[in-house]
Amino acid sequence: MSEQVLLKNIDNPSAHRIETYEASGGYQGLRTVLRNFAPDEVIEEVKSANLRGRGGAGFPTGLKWSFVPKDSPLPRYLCCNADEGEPGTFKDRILMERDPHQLIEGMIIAAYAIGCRTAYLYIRGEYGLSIEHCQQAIDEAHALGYLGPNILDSEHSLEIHIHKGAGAYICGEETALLESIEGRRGQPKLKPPFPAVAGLYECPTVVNNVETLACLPHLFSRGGEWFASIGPDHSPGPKLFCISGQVKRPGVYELPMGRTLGEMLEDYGGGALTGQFKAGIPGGVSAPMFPRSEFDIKMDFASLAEAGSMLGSAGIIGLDETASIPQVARRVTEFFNHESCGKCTPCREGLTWAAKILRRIEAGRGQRGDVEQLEMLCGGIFGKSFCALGDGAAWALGAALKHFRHEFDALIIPQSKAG
Amino acid sequence: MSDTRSLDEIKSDLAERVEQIMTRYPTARSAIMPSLDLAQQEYGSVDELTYRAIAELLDVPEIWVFEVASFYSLYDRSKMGRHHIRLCTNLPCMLRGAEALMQHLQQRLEVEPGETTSDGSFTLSAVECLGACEVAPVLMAHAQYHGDLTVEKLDALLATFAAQPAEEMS
Amino acid sequence: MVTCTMDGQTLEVDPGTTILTAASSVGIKIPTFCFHERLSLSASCRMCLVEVEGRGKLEPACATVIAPDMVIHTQSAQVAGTRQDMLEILLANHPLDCPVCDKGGECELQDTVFRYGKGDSRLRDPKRVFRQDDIELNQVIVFNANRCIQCQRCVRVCEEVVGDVALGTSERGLDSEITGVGNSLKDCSHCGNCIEVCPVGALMSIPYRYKARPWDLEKTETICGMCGSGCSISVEFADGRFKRVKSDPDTGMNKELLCAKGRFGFDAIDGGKRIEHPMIRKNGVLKPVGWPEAIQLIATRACEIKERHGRIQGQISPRQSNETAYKFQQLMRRVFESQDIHSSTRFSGLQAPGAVAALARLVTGPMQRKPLQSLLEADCIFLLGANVSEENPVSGYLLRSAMIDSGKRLIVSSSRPSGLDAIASAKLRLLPGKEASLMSRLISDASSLGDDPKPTDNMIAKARGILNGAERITLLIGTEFLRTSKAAECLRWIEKAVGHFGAQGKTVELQFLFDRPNQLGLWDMGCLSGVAPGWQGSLTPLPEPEDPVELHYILGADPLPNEPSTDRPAFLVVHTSHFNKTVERADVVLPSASYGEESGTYTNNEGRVQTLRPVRSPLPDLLAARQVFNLISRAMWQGPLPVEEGSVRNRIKAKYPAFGLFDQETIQSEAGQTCIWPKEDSLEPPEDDLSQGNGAAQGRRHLITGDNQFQSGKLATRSSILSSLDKGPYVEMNPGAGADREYEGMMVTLFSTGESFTAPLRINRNLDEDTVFVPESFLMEHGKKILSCVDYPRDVDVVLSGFGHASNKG
Ligand SMILES: Cc1cc2nc3c(=O)[nH]c(=O)nc-3n(C[C@H](O)[C@H](O)[C@H](O)COP(=O)(O)O)c2cc1C
Ligand code: SF4
Ligand code: FES
Repeated sequence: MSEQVLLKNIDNPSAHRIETYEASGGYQGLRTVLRNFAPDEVIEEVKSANLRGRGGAGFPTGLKWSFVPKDSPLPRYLCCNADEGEPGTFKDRILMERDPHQLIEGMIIAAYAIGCRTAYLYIRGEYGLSIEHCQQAIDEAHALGYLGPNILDSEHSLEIHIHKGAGAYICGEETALLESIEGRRGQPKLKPPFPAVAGLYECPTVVNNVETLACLPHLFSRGGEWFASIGPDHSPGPKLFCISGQVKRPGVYELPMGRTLGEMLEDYGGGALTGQFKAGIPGGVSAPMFPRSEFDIKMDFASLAEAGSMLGSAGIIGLDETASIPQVARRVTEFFNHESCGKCTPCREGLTWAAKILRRIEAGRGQRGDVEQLEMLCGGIFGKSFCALGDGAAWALGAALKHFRHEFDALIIPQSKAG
Repeated sequence: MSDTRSLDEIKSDLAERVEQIMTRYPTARSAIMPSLDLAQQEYGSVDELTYRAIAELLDVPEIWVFEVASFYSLYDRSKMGRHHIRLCTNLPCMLRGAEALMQHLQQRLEVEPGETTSDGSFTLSAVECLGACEVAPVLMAHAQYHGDLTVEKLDALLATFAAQPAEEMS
Repeated sequence: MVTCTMDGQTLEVDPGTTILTAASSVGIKIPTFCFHERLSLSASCRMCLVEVEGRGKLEPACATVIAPDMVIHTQSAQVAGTRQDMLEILLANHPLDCPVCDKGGECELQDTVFRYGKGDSRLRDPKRVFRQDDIELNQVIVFNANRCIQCQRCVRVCEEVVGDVALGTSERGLDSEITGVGNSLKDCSHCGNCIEVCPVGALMSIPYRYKARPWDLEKTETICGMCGSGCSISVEFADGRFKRVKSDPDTGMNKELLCAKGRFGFDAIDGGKRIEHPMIRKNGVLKPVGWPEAIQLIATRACEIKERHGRIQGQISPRQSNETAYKFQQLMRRVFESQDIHSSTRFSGLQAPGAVAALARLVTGPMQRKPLQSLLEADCIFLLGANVSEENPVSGYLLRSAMIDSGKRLIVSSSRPSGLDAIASAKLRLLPGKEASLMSRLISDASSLGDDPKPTDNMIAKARGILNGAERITLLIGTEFLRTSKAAECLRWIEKAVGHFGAQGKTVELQFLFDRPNQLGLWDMGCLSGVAPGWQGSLTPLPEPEDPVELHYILGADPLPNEPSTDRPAFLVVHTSHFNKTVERADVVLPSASYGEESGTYTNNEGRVQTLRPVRSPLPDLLAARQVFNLISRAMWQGPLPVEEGSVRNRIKAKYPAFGLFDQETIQSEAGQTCIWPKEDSLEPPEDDLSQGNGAAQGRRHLITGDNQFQSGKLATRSSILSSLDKGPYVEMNPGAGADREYEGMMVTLFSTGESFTAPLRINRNLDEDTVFVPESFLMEHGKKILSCVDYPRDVDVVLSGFGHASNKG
């Protein structure tokens, strides 16, 4: 097994306490930053380490920070996206429950880089223990001068407030998350302007994922070069993969990117629960699935994108031969339908329609033309919805239809009329 | 469960803590979610009176509070059973038997998902991914996760719940 | 300029132009639902998606700004297919109840499907049915959830333009539903703009519901008769009966916006009791007579009084047209030889010496005759002594919309609170009449705050800072101070302030906010003591104030409940359309057409001269008012007065060349040239104490009045819809210490000089504690003279009675 960076202390029951964290080198990255780096240099270092966001889109973190206007008189905000709701994803929870100081330290570094004095940590409401441990970590960090005014006697000051989500997957979408902090319904906002220019309270804002931020202390205590040397050039750094579904050893695994989907499911996930795998989902249910025949796909941002899927949240879900793809498609579509914010037409109305058809098919009442109808709906939603939730829903359903059409066809009543 | 309280009582109950919450944000509107959460912790659920109290404490239109309360699924807008069981039925849990567990719970409790037992002791909900797929199938009750569920484990859990009043669980 | 290609056509557009705007400028139609010119962008309906070369996804035309060299396709196969898909998806859940839907025939969804849709839907599953029944949000607005397409226009118009935040959205996803809740719906101003912007039949007007099909409606474009904003309205009739009022999105200052009075008050034309024949008081009783007898009686009395130089007074309602007003002043001046013409008894402050001259200087000087919209471009808007949200709601909506621009500042000084307070950078509760003091302090050099600055001082310091920092100031002034004895002083100080800021190189522009539709027009026409048409000074001497009025000719107005009784009552001629209190006391009654029955023009607050068109013909046997004046003139051997509208307008033009000119550079100077109103220089700073709100001394408060959002004098009281929304008399005040609950359900009695007025208490914590507000119609209805014009605001004793609901149920 490769070196464990993010999960180094994960089995230590007191890893969430600041003493443990400090004893294992915690807050050294922050010290280095405050001592040796100007904010701009922090951004440059993150750019050259090529850290890419772990929240889903893989956007280069340093580049995102550099969009924050330097001359704006407005306050800047940092928001940590800990809304982790993508089915099959639980890495951020583990980080926050077990080793939250990594995240807090990362937030302090990121805030320093963009000149932010107030940061919000948006944790989904179900994550009670994460909220408790993060709050404790914030309090501990405060007590030792890592938070508050003039951190470690520097000019940098920061307060972190936890904002508790309340059960809405869409709030993981960054602009919906900002709306939610502003006390509104969590609906995505029009871009441009992008959050970096006009985000929270119309002020320059950076939104980063928990894991992205948790990488920062290590990146700075060990250097950008070290960071860049892990894994493939275009997708470097330590990475967490969640493996779940019909596998023998579900769990979170830290590995460099670039292993194949098959390796992940077989070698780390421990193989299929029953017989062989039928398909694998590489990055949470929004990411199109691969049939077993394509399991040699490499698990990194670029390879997956090229193959028409995505690394997404790196939530790998194994489907073994007992899985019914129409049922999987139905359940996943119901999920997106339930979580659609309702703002845009294709997602709001289209997914409801798709779910109705899928329920009928699963119940053996599929009619000729239903699959074509589903394809039309996928086409009407994908690329046309307001935000990526609708895209993901249509994308994932489209892949199921494409690779496993025969399973749907098998459920269609032969003599039924075409629509 | 604020039905036994008056608007003024709710307001004075919450005022100080709502004030405290407001210091964390530049706008009063931002305090709507944490205030609803606070009220729900205090009273078990939120209702019209709670929205009005929060709206008045924050000096925002009442509709803003209601919009938020109804958008997010963790705010309970009706009285829940003493034990609210939220069983995840999303894909990773489904693939490991959540649907059968749901069937089992429905039979044991004699309710459909979304309903409360007639004695008011259990509410059963089917929920989306709880972010604990490594222990799928999983449920949440009293803000705690119970994973790697089997029918036997579920029965044991129900028995523990039934034996204990809700207050001691959280 | 940015160059782009759209459907093969090369376009040059201003930077920042969206694809949608550019397309419509060259006549390319792109379908939309959520987009609305007035509202913030939503880009959520996805109907307007178009293809932009080089971009992976289709882009919403409504929200995509054209970048240099963009190549855009708005009609490609992909775009057309997307439109079909989007409509099919929308229709999946949309009920196909067009035959019974009020919107059928004017539904944007229906029209868009017709034009861009595929025609059929492949949905084979049951449609969602939200609710079996429609929900009545209030007495005038009903909601059908099933038809809603979630464009959110209603929610946006309510919050962004009207400022009510009465509507919101509950749930999410497909369950999303437009809704209102208890307290928020209570704030609804019932303007119905949500109905107007709804593209489908989800929000509907209750009074219009199931009354007509749009294709059967006959439309008349005219001007609203309620307030001086002068909104364009389209009055729709079917089968000879009034059905509804709408407004064209492309016309007038309001462009589709209307307030409750404008949208729902038009049923007033069917309200009240009409006067059908001329009447003469015989043995104390009014008896119907023929026109000649009535006219002869007036002529005889007038001749006789004129002979002995007795005083004849004329009074005209500001709902009369310019043409009638012009003839009325001619009747007064030429035939009766009297200068004693009034157009609003409420503005008694104008009777003070010098007041009219001060008014004339403002109107012919800094007052602008151009669109309010252009005045709202100023970086500082100063609302002085106006209750715009209640008295000129649509002007208020435009103001609020303009304030979206974050660089703009609003200063509010008013006697009553309004929704605009919340977006004002500086706000002051000020008793009417103290505007003079406020202006003098705002421009005085003594800018330092004392050791113990009062809230007033802070506001003044703030406002001064904003004014000094502004480059362009717009002053919108209400008319409440014209009711006070300090009217002249206020007018002078406003003029002085304009001069002060003008001298600093700022552009300062001013408009009045009148509560009646043709106040400005009446003055322009010379219906003002001592001012001839076109604001010419008049040389004929004015009557001595002590002289008793011997003949009182009242056109349209109903002033008498307001008038102190005189020992020797004048010979009273009342020329009006409906029975009222004044009619009861008349010696001669002449019937007239009512609003909506005659053509002519109104001049709105902006100075726009707008055409009034009759929506139905007047009663048979009715002589037009101008015809009556003509007959009186002839009966007095004074020769004919022209009657026909066109020739009257020619006369007006001859006297007042700037008449009808609007938004043109020349009118300002032209108007200025013709008037010579002497300047009075020395102005002593008034010594009023501006601070208020320090509690009512021993139950004494200042009574202020005016229109509320459902009132506009007599006309609105004849609307049964507005009257029902108004819910009867109330007294609005801030009861002071103690919880609201302790006061709820109490009655308030106001006492003043032997009169009293009792009505239920309405709590408004934003009123100052030393004022009390009663809507004017309620006071008038009860014939209370405590509002005597002479000292406004009136000091009254306030007594609360009854028990508040001290129950614990919230
Ligand atoms: C529907 C939807 C859900 C998302 N959920 C999450 C989430 O739970 N956590 C997260 O970090 N990012 C989520 N994202 C991605 C965020 O929008 C955003 O890209 C990310 O937080 C940026 O952080 P990063 O640059 O560190 O990856 C989601 C995006 C979409 C469209
Ligand atoms: S795709 Fe549209 S409806 Fe769906 S979540 Fe995004 S904005 Fe909301
Ligand atoms: S009009 Fe552009 S998305 Fe609705």
